[in-house]
Amino acid sequence: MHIVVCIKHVPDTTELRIDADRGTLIREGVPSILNPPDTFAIEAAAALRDQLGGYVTALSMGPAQAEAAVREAVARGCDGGILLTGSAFAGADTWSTSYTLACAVRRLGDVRLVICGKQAIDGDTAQVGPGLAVHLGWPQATYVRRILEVGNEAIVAERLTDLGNETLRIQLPSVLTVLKDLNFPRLPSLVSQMRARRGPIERWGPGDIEGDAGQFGLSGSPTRVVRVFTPPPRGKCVLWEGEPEETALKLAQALKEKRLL
Amino acid sequence: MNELAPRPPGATGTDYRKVTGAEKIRQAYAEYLHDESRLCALGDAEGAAGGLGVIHFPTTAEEVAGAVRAARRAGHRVAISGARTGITGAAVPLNAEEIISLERIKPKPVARRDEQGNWAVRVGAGTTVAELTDALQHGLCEYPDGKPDHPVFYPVDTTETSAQVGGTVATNASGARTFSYGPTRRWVNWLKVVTPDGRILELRRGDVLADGHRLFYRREDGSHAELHIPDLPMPGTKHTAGYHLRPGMDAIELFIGSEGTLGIVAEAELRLAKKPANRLFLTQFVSGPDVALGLVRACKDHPRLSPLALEYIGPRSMGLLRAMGRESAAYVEVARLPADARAALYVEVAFRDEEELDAIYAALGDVLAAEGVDPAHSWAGFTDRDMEEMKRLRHAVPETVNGIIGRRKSEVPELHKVGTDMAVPDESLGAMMKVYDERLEASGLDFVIFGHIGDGHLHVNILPKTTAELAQAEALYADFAAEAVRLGGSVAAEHGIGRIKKRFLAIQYSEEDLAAMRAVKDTLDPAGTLNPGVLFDRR
Repeated sequence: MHIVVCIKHVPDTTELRIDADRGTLIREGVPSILNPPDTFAIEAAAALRDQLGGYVTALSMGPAQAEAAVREAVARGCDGGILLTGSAFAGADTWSTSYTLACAVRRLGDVRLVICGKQAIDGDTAQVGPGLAVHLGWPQATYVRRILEVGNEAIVAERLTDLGNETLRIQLPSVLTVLKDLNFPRLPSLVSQMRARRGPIERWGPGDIEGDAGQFGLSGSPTRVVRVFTPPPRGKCVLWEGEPEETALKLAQALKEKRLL
Repeated sequence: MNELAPRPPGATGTDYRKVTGAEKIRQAYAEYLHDESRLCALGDAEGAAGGLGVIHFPTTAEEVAGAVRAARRAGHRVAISGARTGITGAAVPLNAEEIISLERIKPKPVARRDEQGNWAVRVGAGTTVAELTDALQHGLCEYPDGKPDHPVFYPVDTTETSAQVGGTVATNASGARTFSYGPTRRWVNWLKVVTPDGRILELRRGDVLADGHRLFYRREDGSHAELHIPDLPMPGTKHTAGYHLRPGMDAIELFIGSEGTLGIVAEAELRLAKKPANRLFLTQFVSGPDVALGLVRACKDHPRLSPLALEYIGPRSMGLLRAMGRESAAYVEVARLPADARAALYVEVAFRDEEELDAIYAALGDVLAAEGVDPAHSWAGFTDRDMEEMKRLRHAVPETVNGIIGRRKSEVPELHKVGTDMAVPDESLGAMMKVYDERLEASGLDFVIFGHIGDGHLHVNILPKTTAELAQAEALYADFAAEAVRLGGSVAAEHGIGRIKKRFLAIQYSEEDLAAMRAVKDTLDPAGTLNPGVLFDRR
């Protein structure tokens, strides 16, 4: 089975700091990393490949530096990698990104399953996986926490919903987005790191995929980031000082007054 | 110049706070009564429950000096408190009536080039290692002469990054990268120290040197006291046991690692290192200690490998992690351990570019093949996140030990873990490991071994179940310390002596040497004001 794992090279948001005076993000010293939720998708794909045989392709779209993330995906268990890169793809929103990735999956031809992480830690939209399924016209299961069965024609997966778990049987080819409950991602070994550093990573530009060029990049993006800002604090904070028993009573009283208790 | 000449303190600010009252301290400030050792001032027979009545929270060196002077006037003794991450009881306020906590001395760090052209950062005692690291990484210091044109960092990677800089200087702290970068001592350019008589000494490296065996101290009344500087037989290994004394020494060395007994470090200027462009982090799983030791030697000897760190997790540590995996902070890492991994070696190597990385891969391949080790049984990565995941496994060993001991303590309150801290020279490490293994296996005690194998510095943690086992473990510890000294090593490589490990000083040094150290303390602090009972029994 040919499985594609979609991954993203993102700033390590745990390293972002905010300049309190200016209310702006401090980007100095913030490394770019493989989007951590994607490691669960890589592990899921590698485990299925180990079980059923086949091939796992890591697929990403981004600037040339994003090749580091694709190589890391290969070190973590993918068999090969493709980076969609070029100025035509720059500035893409989630619509355009999922459209472009779908074009790349179509070009690969024999893909039966696409697995994505839950969401990227920079945008946090969780839209690209579902968008990809729509552009491909494939069924999807989001927030998958267990894969119960995989056959030639269908996959049975348990997904997390607001109300509990839901078990779905969906036809292949399909798209999954997965949660961290699914597995413990393997760490690369020295051997797999060496293989990933040396192995070829394919770079595809807009000419390498069939699609409507008008839907690539910024020009194909119906949404725009107009401004990034730190929202002002809302409401006021009450601080009670004193002995724990005394302050706990005050809190209980206040919650009662607001009819929250 | 061979004279230490402190100045009287200047005016203090308005932000100074102090808490008074033994009961209030016991109720609301209990965390100031213990560190991460078993020692606690609360309820101890000779403890400060009765005598301790004040905690000072100064924000400047001047305010520290003011607090010291006030304590002296009252005939009080002072315990110095940082983040209390130490495990030798040095910050536990036994025998003291007052505590000076340095946590609020944390002005914004100032980074600039020093006189030698190296990047250095001036930092307050209360700034934590994590805060300093963060400020340097994200450019959050003051940069009066502009920012560096290459990334710089403070290379002393203490295990507890919540440790405060003042404490790390006072204890000459070290970490995994000490193997390559050396301990704190090597990185201190300048100190602002409050002396036991409540004055302020600003000391830059190179400014005050002992004239052979003689160093002078100008008292407040203008008279001179002479400090006799002996030629202590200090081991060539990592070593933090007692004062650093040698003829012709730089006087700044006196205060580094003196565990707050000679002065209070209020500010420091620390030299910074150029951050390596890239690093490879490798956890190599091996079949046992002999193979790990062989790999360490091969890594050190290989001309293309210059490891920044070499750390070890022994078979019993690994067994403990597997058994306790579900309770460990490193559960995920434990779950991912290869099934046949018995012991592990962590290696960190810097590289500039792909070409150099290729050479490192080849060198590691040679070294592993020569020892019959499979490189596929490893974890390898290039990011700080990878490093943190790997270190979590190593750090989970002492954390798991502490958890087990905590539970046993609820049954037998006297119990505590017996954790050793000896280092031996490279050539003696094999012999020392053999002694550990034979004696511990024969003892029937629960134990684990892990630590800084590159520095010949392994920690043995013994986990007694009964008071008889505790006595047996303490006796073994003393035997091991004597063996380490016989092999040319140190009884206390990084944890220091504090209040708990004083008996080991007598294993390391002769009575004459200890008397010379004591004389230094008595000359600088004749009233015994600072950290009473640390290093030496109080008089």
